[in-house]
Amino acid sequence: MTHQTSIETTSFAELYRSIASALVTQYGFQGKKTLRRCIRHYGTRLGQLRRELLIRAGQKTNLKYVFDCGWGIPCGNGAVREWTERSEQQIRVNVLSCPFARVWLETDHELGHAFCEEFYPAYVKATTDPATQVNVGKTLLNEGDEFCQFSCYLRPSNLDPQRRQVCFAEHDPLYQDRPWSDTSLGDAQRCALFLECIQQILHEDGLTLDLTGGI
Amino acid sequence: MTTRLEGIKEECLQDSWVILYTFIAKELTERRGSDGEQILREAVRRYGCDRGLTNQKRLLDHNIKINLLTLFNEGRDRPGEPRFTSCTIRNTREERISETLICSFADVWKKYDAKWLGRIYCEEFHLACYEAFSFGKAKINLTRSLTQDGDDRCRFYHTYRPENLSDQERKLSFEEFDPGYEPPTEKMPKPQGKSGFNMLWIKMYYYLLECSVEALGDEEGRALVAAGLRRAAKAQAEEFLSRAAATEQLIDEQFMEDHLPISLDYDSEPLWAQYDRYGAKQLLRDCFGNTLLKGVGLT
Repeated sequence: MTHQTSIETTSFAELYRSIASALVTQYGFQGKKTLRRCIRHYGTRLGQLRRELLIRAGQKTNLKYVFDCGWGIPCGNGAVREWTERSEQQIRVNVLSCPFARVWLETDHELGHAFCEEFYPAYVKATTDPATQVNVGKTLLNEGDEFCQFSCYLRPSNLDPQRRQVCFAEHDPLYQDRPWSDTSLGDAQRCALFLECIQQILHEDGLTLDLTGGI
Repeated sequence: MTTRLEGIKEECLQDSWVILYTFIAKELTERRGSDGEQILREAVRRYGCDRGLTNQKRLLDHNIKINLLTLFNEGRDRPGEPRFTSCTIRNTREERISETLICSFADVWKKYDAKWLGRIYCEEFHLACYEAFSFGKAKINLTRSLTQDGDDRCRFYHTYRPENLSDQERKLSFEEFDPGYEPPTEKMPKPQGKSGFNMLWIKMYYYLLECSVEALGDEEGRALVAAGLRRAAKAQAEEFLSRAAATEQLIDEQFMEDHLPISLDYDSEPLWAQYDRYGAKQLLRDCFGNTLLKGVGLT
């Protein structure tokens, strides 16, 4: 079980590393542009999926569940988080150990860092609302940082009434609190979505990718 | 060498801005609750955006590139003052990491029991200002702040990647993408205490007024800001009286000139040409200026 879990949580990291390296090796600066676009697209798509899941489950799309069950921040073997605040409007969490970072630090931390820079704002905003403020103050991939540091804020005052109603129960007179069971995000799903996103962006940018001996 | 009295003048110039913001913000949120908070946040964003775009234009007009290095050097428009203490961990064109260990804004907000109003400012201002400066492309991260309970510092981490810019933006930001670029030979002047704080003060006031009037209508918006100005003026007067007593100075015209960022000779200030909608100048004279002068014993 442990062995299965640790493979599961590194296959996305290895897929990303292969694709990112190939892009930059083959296309240089254009490859970096495409890579960042792809990460943002992936973050947005994953956020949209998370949002749809929450809405279908009758939940509000605030910050409370944005990083649960492998969505957003990897969980499982080797992922250690330290929550310091967790509410609908505000979340503050440190990640002390990350299976993705461990893989990326072995080769090219810059490409890994690009992932963290681009993914989190895209994912959290797509899950909750574009008005959400996403702050990544430290990352394990940044020289000198010993953990990742996230602070996100979603303020009702920054939303119009319709969006406030979608995000916060107290602004929805018809809301009924009911028990629900969250759905985990596995590495296989992450990989499949990332591949779909990279194919789309490559097509839009008119590029092809040679992954011989890669994934 | 800057004397302590000179340093106190700089402190007063900055604290006056915080007093202005605090008491109009209190009025907004006490009287209008979450609507008032909405107005306040929008005002801070507009203020930040104004400063960001103004600084961007200033640098471009002087043929200086737009990036994180220039944002915090030539792009600075807020004058320094002695209490502010920070350390810069990384400062390149693409990345800036810094931590603020002592922030006089935060300290003054705490003094006036307005830490949460300061928190609103911190959340909205940096994002608006630095994004506006950087063509909307810099990533602005503030994960810790002295206006947040439990934090012992402000932690800023900003990134600005050429990969994320358009061709034109890249050319304006990084020399290597602008063949033939010759940097300017003359250094830009640094922001000066009095004129710098004057600009910040007028802009913050103006956007608080603008957003209040837009949201609440002319009558209520102006009335609310007027009440905030009067409260600010009283707090300002108390502060001046305290400072003057502590430094054995007389409060006279020269004292006011040295310690108040705005000129009470309103017609002499050229910024009003741009920031006098909604009767801003007259409202300031009637509700802040006159109240302040009365409070310090000047007529």
